[in-house]
Amino acid sequence: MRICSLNRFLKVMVNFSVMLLSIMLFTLSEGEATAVEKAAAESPPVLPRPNQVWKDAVSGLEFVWLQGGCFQLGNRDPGRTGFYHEKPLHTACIDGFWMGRYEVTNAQYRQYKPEHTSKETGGRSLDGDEQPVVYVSWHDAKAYTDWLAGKRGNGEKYTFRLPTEAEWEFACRAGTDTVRYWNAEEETCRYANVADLFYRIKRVHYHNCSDGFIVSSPVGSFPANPAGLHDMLGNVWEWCEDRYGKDTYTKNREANKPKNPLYQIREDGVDYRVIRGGSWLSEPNSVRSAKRSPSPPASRYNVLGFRVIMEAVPKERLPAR
Amino acid sequence: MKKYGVIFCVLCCFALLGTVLERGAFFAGLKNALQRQEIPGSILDIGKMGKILKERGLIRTLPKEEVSSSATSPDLSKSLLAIELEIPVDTEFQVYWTNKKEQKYAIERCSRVAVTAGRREYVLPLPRLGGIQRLRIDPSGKPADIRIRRITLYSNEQEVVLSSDNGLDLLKPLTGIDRLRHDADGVSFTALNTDAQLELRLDAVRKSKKIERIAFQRKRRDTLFRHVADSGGMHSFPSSQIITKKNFKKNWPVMSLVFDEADLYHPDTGLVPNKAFRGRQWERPASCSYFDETGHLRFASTVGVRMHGGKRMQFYSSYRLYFRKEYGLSRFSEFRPEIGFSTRAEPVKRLVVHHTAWPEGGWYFNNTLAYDIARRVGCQVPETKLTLLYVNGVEQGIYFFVPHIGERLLYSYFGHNKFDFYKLRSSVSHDSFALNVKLWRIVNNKNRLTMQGVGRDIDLDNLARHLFSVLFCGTTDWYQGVAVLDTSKPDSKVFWINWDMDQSFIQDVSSQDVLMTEWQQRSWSLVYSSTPDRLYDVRPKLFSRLLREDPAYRQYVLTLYRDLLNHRLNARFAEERIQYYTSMLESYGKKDTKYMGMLDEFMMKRPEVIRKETEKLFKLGPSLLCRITGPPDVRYEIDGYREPAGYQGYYFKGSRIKVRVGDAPHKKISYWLVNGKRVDGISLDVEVYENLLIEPIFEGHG
Repeated sequence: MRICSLNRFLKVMVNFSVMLLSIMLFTLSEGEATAVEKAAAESPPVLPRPNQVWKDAVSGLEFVWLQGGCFQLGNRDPGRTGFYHEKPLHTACIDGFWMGRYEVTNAQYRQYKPEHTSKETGGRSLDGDEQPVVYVSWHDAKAYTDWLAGKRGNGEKYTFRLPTEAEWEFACRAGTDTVRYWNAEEETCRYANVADLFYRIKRVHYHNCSDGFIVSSPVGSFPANPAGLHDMLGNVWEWCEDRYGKDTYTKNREANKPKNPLYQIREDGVDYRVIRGGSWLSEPNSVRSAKRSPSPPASRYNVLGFRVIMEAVPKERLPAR
Repeated sequence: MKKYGVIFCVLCCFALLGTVLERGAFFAGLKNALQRQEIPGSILDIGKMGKILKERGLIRTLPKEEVSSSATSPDLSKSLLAIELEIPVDTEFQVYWTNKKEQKYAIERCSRVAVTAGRREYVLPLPRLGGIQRLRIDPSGKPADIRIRRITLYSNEQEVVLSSDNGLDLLKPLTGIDRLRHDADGVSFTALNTDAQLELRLDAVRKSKKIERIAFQRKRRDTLFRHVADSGGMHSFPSSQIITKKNFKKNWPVMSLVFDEADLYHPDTGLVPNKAFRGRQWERPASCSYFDETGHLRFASTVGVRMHGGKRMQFYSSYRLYFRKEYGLSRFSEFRPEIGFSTRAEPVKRLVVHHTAWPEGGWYFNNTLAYDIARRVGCQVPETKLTLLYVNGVEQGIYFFVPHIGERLLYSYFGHNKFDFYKLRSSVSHDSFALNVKLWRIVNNKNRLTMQGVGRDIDLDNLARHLFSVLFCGTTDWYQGVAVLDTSKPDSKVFWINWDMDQSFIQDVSSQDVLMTEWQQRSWSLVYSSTPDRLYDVRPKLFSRLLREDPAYRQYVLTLYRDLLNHRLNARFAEERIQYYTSMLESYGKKDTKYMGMLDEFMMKRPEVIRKETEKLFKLGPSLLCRITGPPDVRYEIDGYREPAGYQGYYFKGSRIKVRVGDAPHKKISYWLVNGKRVDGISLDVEVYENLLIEPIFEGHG
């Protein structure tokens, strides 16, 4: 009798466990399906409006649609003999694309690499969740964009990547043709996080104003540019896709192929990538829309982060050729 | 069973393949890392480089009292107040200060900043912190709930620790504040009206001497410079270790510099992205090693490095090395450059490792060859030395050493500090330097300029040679160099030192004469004109006026230039130099026949261009050829220069040729035959009105 009861009890327990397991599996599989479905449901519009904002629910990144077009790439200052590598001014034509509204933050990057730390400098943290991620190499940034693409699931393979420098400048200028998108150097502290008065005692070159941040600021702390993008100048330098060449622009112009320029020639003995935008440690000359600077792709610095762009239409949605 | 065996084998193959691929990736990564030669970290105090140097006993930290006081004095006028503020409204934040005990706050002593709603840290500039008694803080122009999280004062690049609570406990409400509430996140209060004021009394803190200690510190003691390299262990320096046998090339010395990567490439503080910046703030420490032509390590130390050069640094980087005892060795004894006016040849303390970077494409020897020519014609020009340069193990190409011409170098050459000088730069205006003022006063004199008069103050022989080097080499960018006056002697004269002649030989593409070949390019028009195009430059104006106004100086210059063309820049010199540079280029592994051919042609044909232009400019008529024949073992002294047998030179019509026998073993001159006519005498001095064939007739050979 007792054995019979035990058997019945065990049978019930097994059945119960199987049921529970089934429910759990069902719930889990349903949850996974929901996330993918949700992502699919929140896919960027195929025909977006200019400056339309779209938030990727999976990564938390926000993007702004930039309607493509042609613009003048490079330094517009004819009077100065310097800035050789920012000249000549030449036409570049860009397809529309989704540009990251903000620089990638520590929190966003830690979704990909939880152990990442952006450290601190001079007793001030660079590692806040909303501060832009720094101490990332060009390779790290590329790996993050690849990870983003995979993150969106099987059905949606978007192309996330770093901007080319032409795309970056197109986005930064946002239709302006002035030195900065706010133009006057005196107003810099209202629009960007730069080497401000704090650096008066440390450096010769600084902005003679106070922007409210000694080191990097939480992204979006300053007004957006006309395209709705924040921190395009200042806060942290941003990696670009292109290789750096001293005479990229001369070669671009000579090649006379203005469509989506991307410079990939490795020059003698060096392999630098382009960085753009200046940082919280940048003096006035570095905080300009046309400013371009070289950096070895393996380098990681406290002023160097990145932002992501997403190509216009997922490849899978394009009609088959 | 067989089926399972096959599956097992396939799995094993995959595992093996995976391992191989993984290893391949590992080795590829290792190879990449070695090729990149990444040495992260800062060089002395922090980072791997510092650790390596310390572990190997290559540097030791000096006790404080031994730290050099030569570092620049800090600018005591610079202090800052940084305040971390949380405020719900956009408003204005103000700080007033008083310099005396009973002084009232006033608008003249006020610093203000616009603040944005939210939590931010603002910075306000203050005057010299040592003088401030009290600070009044007006936190808001509007009523608001405010939190101050931190107040920090900075002076002399240092944080002034006011109290254990970041100075917040020293804050006292003056007006318009309900009460201060202190907690772990700082101090909060409500500004009741637009006149809310707080006060921070620094005079109270000053009693503890904290502010004086920092604000009145006269010399900066930067930890970066508190190290010396031990004399031994040169091979252990990273810059020595990074060089391997494959880095050497026959006959080429090697200089190796190893920087902390951030010191080179940090976007905001690195040397490479910020090439245009100058001054001590842009000096970075590096490990430096020098190997001589035979590959022997002759020097290793840490040095300070700055970028050197103008806008052409866009193409290549030149470096300026500072040898200071704070870094290690205070002089670079492997290079003791000579210069004409001094018999001293001291090891340099500042060395320019220069790239001839004009035009783009790397014209390897423009600078050094032009320096060679300038030295040959008797200019004051520093010695140079070719070298290969490696930076962090990566070859940078052909460079050359040249001392950095500045006060220190002139001091070492003169042996005293009683001299006046200024560097020729486009920013130098007529009244920039006392010496320049003096020169312009002479040049702007409305009376006729004479060699005798001007020659009392200016070394006119140096001026003529200096400008000859420019017009011969076709140096278009010649507003460079140094004007110097030794003030220790009453009869001293101003002279010029040549510097940076890289824009020589190659036709200036911006010139109108682009159809000319390189050797045909501008010569006299660079330095002589009735209206010199270089209005900022005293040299061409002075030279042009003297040539026009004083026949004696004109004659002096014509004779000098004739001699320089005949005796100094002759075919022998040209051949020797071209051969040397060709062989160096071949040792380097390049065979740029186009460039070397251009230089060869330039050296051979340029003298004729100069001669013809001189004839035309001064209406001298065609030059006449004088040849001297005689036994091959006889040496002559012609126009004061030693020449071998077989000499031939061109002479302006009406000028004189002076010949005497120098070395003639077992021979005694009897008389001369000039165009077949006998002229008696040991030496010959004839006026040239026709081509001459001169033959010495020795006793017993009549």
